[in-house]
Amino acid sequence: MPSSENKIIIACAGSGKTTRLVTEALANRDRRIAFVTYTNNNIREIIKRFSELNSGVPKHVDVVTWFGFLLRECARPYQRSKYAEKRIESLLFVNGQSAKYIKETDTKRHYFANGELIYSDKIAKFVVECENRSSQRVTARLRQIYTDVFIDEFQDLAGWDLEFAKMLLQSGIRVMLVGDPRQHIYSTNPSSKNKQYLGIEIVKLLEIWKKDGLCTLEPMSGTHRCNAAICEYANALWPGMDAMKSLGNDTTDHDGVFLVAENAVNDYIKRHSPQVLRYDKRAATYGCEALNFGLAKGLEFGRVLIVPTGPIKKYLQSGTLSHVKASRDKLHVAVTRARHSVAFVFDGQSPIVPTRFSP
Amino acid sequence: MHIDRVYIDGFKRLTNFTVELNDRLNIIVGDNETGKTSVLEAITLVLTRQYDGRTIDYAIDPYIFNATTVAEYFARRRRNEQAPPPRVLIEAYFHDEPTEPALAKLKGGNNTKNENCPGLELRIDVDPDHVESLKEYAADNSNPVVIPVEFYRVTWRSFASNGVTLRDLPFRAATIDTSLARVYRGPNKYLAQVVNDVLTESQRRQLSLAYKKLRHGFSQEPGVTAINDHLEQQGNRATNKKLTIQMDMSSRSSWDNAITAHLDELPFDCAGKGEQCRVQIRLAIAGAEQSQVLLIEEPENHLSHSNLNKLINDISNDCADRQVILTTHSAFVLNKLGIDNLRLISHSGNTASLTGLAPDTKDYFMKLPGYDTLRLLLSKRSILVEGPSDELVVQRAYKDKHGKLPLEHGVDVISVGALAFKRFLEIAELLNLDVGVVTDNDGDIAALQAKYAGYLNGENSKIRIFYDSDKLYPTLEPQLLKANSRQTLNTILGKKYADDATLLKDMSGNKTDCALKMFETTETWKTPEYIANAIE
Repeated sequence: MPSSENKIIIACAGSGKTTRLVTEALANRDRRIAFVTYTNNNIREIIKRFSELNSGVPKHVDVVTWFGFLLRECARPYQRSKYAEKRIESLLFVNGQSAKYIKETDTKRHYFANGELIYSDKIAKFVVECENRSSQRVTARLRQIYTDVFIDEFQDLAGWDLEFAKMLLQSGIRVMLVGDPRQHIYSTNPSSKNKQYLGIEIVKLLEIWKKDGLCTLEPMSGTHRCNAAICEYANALWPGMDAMKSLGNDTTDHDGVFLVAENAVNDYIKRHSPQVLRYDKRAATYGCEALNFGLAKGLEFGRVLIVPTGPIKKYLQSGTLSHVKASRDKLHVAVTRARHSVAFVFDGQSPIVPTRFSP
Repeated sequence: MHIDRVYIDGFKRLTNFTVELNDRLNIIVGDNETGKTSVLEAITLVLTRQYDGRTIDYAIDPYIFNATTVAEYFARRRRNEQAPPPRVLIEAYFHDEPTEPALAKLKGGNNTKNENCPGLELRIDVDPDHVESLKEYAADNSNPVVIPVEFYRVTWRSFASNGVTLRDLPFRAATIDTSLARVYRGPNKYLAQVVNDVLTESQRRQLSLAYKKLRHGFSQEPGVTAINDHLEQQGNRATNKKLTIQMDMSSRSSWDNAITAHLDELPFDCAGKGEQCRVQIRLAIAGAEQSQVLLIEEPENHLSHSNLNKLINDISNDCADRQVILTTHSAFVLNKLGIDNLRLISHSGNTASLTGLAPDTKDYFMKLPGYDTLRLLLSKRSILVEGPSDELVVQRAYKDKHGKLPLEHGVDVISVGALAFKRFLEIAELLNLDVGVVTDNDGDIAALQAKYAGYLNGENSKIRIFYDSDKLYPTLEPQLLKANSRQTLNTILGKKYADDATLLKDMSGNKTDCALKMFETTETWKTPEYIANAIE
C-alpha cells in the first residue's frame, strides 16, 4: 500500500527549503532520518544550517551524499543477489553513458569498470535490480534503519534515479523530496531511461506519482530573496508553473530588472557593485570575479549583472521563450540569485525588460 | 545484541569452522590443541579488531595463518602452480533485532553463509598491490616457509560490505583473560581496560576534564607561579620569549598514564592474582553498557575453589541478560554453569552442543559439580565404572591385553558410581560419544536390563553396556573369583584362605586394597569376561 505520508515539495529559489527540511528533522527527534543531497556543497550547507539551529547534526539524522547513500546503504548490502564476483569497491563517475555498447546481460561489464567500480549512471539501476532479485531486502533493511528519507535537490535526479526514488516512495519509509524543477543544473544520471522527464518535465512524473497515490505535492512559492520585479521576470520563463511570490519588502534606490549598454558596464559596476554571472568562462567579465551560472546555485547576492549568451540575447530581444529552451534553467538560477536587482549587458531594446540603466 | 554464530577460516588451526552460540551463556570446551583459545581470540578480533591486546593491523604475525594452508601454498608455488594465497577470515553473525536500527546498519548478505543478518567480517588477506610479490616470494626456494606479513592488510567490514570503525558498533565486547600466558603491556593496561569496559562515554569525558583541570591548577599554585616568575627573569638570557613550566597539557599526557586503580589503598597490580581476576570479571559484569558481549578465558585460573565458586555464582546471577562466551578446562565450572551450555570442539574441528539435554540432568550436575564430565567429553573412548576398585581392575586388564594403559590410547576409565551412569549416558548419547559401561549385575538381571533398556541392543549409538548375566556373581569380587582360582587370588593378595566365602568376605571388605594389589601384581590373572569384552 503506497504511503500517502510521502511528500514532494516544489520549492522556489529563496523559499528557505533547506531550513524547512532541517527544522522538520529537528522537530522529529523520535524518528531516524537519512538526509540525502547531491553535492558536497549541499552537504556543507545542510550541516551549517544544523549548526546554526541546533549546534550540530543530531544523532537521529545522517547527512549523506546521494552516491554515498546509494553505494553504502543500497548497492553493497545485497550486491550478491545481482553480482557476487567482487566487492563493489567504489564508484566511477562518468559524464554521459557508461559502457554504451555492452548488453545488460553482461552484468560485470555493463555495470562495472574493472569489475569493482560501479558506474555512477548505473548504480541506481543496479540497486533497483538488487531490490527485485532479493525479495525487497534493500528496502526492508532501510526500513529497519530509517523511518524517513529526505532528498534535497530532487530536480537533479534523472534516469534510473527516478526509478530508485519511486522504489523508496513505495517502501513504507516516509519520503520527503524537495527541490525546484526550474533549477535543474546537474544530472545525476544521463541514462536514456526516463529521459522524457528531464529538467522541468519531471513535474509530469510527479503528477503521475501523485495520481497513483505515492505522494502528495506541495508548492513552496514564497521567496524571501527576490523582490517582485525579479519574480515577475523569472515567472515569465515558466508559464504553467506555480508563480514565485516575493515575501520581502525592503527597498533600495535600484530595484528590479535592467538592461546595461556595453559602454556603460564599467559605470554600472562602479555604482552598484553587482556580482557578475556568466554562462561559462568564454564570456567577458569586465575585470570582475565572475561566477558561472551553475556554480552560483544555492548562493545569494544583493545585485547581479548577467553576461548573456547569444540565445539569451535573442530572448531579451524578442521575448520568445523558445530561444532559451536549452538554457532556461541556468538563466533562471542566475536571475533568482539576486535580492534587489538583476541587470543584463545588452545594447538593444527588449519588450520584457523596458528599463535601461543610464549613467 | 547477541551473536548467533561465528565462522572462522584460516585462523590458527581453525579452518572452515563454525560455532553456534546461544544468546546467554556459552561454555567452550575442548582438549588442548583444539583451538579453544583461538575461538575466543577470533571472536575478540572480529568484534574489536584487537589481537593480543593490540590493534591487529600492528600485530599480524605469521602464526596467525593456518600452518597447513601456508605449507600447501608454498609447496604449490614451488611447483610453479597457481594457488589461492593464505588468508584469515572471521565472520560474526548477529541475531537480527528489528528494533535496533544501529544493528541494521551492519545488515546485509555479504557473508560466507549467504545469510541476511547483521554481522561483521574481519579479513587478513594479501594486499591487492602485493599479490605478485607474494607469489614470487613463495615460489622462491631460498625463502623460509613463513608468510611475509608485510604483504598483508586487514579489512574490517559489516555484512553490508561497508568498512566499520569501533564507533559504528552499537555494542561492546569485553575480554577477560586470566591466564598467565599473556603479560600486560604497561602498568595501567588494566585500568585502561576497566575504563573501556565499565565507564560510559560521558563518564570518560568527565574523568578527562577533571584531570585537565587538575593539571591546569598546578601552574596556578603559589609555589609554581613564584618559580615561573623566577624563570621569566632568568630565561631572558636564553630566549626573548617567555619561559615557564607547566604541566603537559597535550594529549600525549592524558589521564590514563597518571591514574591507576587501587584496591583497599593498594595499587591494583600489587593485589593477588586471584583477587585481580575476580575484580576484573566482576567489573566487566557490572559494566555500564548493557549490550556487552563478555568473553572470559579460563576463569578457574588463579582462583581457589571457594573463590571460583563465588565467581561462578556472580556469572550465573548477573549475566542473565547478556551473552557470555567462556572457555574452561574445569569440569566444576562446566557443571556449575550448566552443562547444557556446552560448546564442544573436537580435534577434527567440529563443534557439538547438548541441545535437548533433560533439565534434571543439568540440575543433577549443577548440584553435584564434582563429577568429571569433562573427561567423558574429551576422551576418544570412555569406560564408565562403578568405583575405584573397578577402575583399577579395568586398567590392569587393559594393559595386559594391549600392552599400555588405556589413557595412552586415549581411552579414559572413569569411575562415576552406578547412580550417575544414566546421566553420563544421556550426555554421551546426545554427543554420539564412544562409551562403554562396566557394571555389576547386583543379582537382579531384570532390574539391570530395565535400567539400561535404551542402550542394550546397541543399534542407535556408540554406547555399550557390559555386565555378566549370572546373578550368582553380583559384583566385581565374585566375578574375579569366578574367572580365577582361589589359589591365584590368594597369591596376589598374599592370603591363605581355605574357602571361597572367607576370601570373598575379605575382598569385599577391603575393595580398594584388593584392587590395588590386583593392579600392581606381577602375577598373571584372568579378566572376567564382561570386563574383557569392554576392553576389546
